Amino acid sequence: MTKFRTTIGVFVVGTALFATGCGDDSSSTADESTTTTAAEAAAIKVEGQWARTSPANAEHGAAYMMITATDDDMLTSASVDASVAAKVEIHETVPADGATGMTGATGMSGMGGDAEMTTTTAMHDHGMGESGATGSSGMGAMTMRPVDGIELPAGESVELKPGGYHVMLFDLAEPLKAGDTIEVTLTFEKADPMTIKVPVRDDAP
Amino acid sequence: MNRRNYLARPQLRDERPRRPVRSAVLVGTLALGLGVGAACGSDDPTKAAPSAEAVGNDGTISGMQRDEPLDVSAIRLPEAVDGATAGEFTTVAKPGGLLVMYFGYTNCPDVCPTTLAALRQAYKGLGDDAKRIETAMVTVDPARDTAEVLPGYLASFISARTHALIPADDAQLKTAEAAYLATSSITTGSDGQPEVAHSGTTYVVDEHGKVLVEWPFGTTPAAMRNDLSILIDQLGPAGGAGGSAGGNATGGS
Repeated sequence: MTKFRTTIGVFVVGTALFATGCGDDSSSTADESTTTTAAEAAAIKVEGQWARTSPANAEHGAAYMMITATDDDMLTSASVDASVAAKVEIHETVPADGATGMTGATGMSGMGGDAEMTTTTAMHDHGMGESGATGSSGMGAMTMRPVDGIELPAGESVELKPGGYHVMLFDLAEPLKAGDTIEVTLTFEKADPMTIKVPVRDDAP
Repeated sequence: MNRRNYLARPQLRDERPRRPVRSAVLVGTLALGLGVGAACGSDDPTKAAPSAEAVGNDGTISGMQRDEPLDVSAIRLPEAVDGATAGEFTTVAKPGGLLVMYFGYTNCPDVCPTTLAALRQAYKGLGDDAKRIETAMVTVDPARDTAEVLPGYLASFISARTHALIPADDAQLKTAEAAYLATSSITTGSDGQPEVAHSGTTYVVDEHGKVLVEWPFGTTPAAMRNDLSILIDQLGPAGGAGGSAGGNATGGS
C-alpha cells in the first residue's frame, strides 16, 4: 500500500514540475493554449510559434515555430486563408553560391561552408555566427529558397527560426499587426494536417 | 488474476514480475518535469534580449574587428525622405557619434527584419546613448525599394535618426558594396520573381568613415548593445553634436 502511495506521490510531483516548469515565461501562456488539436497531440507538437509584425511597405511575411514529431515525419507544406496571404511556401535561408566581388574573404565561418546546400536534411541550425563573429565572417551572401519539406525525425525538436527555415507568407492581404493572430495549416507526410494559431509579435517570444 | 489476491500470497511475492512500465512512467514524468523546467529557462540566442534593462558592457567587443578597418568615407548615396530623394548622404557618423549601416531590401521576409529588429532591441538598452547612433539602410534592390517604400520600411524598426539610401544605379551600389566588402545579386527565379541574395552584415562606422565593428547576421541584440556601449564609451562624452558636419548636406537629427 505504501508503495502505491509513493507511486502516486512521485507521479504528482513529476506532473507538478512539468506544469510549473514554464512558470517563468510570462509570455508562454499563448503557446500552451493554442497549439495542437487533441487528436494530433500525440503525433505532432508545435510550440513557440510566432509571426513577425509587418514593417511598413513589406509585402511578405514569415512565421516561425518549433515542431516535434513523435514518429519520423515531414512537414510538407503550409497554407493560410486568402484573407491573410496569397501563397505560402516553406523556405530556408541559405548561403548563396558563387557570390562575386569578395576580396580577401575566406567565407563565413561557422556556416558549415555548404555552398551547395540544397534542400532539407533536417538542418536545425545554420550556425550563422550566433555566438559572435570569428575570422572573416560576414562575407557570405545569403538567399532564400523554397524547400520541398522539412524532415521531422522522431522525437527531435526542429526549429523554424530567423536565419533558417521559415514559413513564408507571400503577398500579405494586410500587414501583420502585433497582437493579431493568424491561422496556419500545416500539412505532414504522415500525420494529419494541423491548424495552429500564430500570434503576431515584434520579436521572438 | 486479481491483484489483491496475488499480493496477499506472500510465497509468490518474490516471483511476481517486476513492473518496469510503472517505473518508466515515474522516471519519465520526473524527467519530463525537470527537463521542461530546464528547457524553459534555457538561453536561446535567437530570442530578443530583455529590452528594459540598460546594462553596461563586459569590456570585450563581440563583433568582428579588422587590423586594418575598412574605410568607407568616400561612399555617398542618394537619401530618400518622405517619398522623394533629398540630397546625398556620406556614410560616416556625425562627430562624436556612430553610424550603423546595413545592406538589405524590403521584400526580405527573414534576414532583414530579423537584423533590424535586433538593432531596435539593442538600442533600447542604451538609454540616452542611443541618440548618438544613426542607422542607415542601403537597398540592394533599388528597382522595388523606391523613395516611397524604403524610408517607411526602415522607420518601422528604428524610429529616429535613420537614413534610407537608394543607389541611383547598379554601379553606385557596387561601389558602395565594394567599400564595405558586401555583396548582393538579383536573379529571376523560375516563377518569374526576383531572387535576391545579399550579405547580411551590419557595420558600425565612425565619423571618419572607419568601420569599427562588423556584425554577421545572427548577432544577438545583447551582443550589439554590448559593442555599441563599448564604442560609445571610447568616443568619450558627447559634445558639439547635431548640425551639419562631416560632409553631409542633409540636415536634421
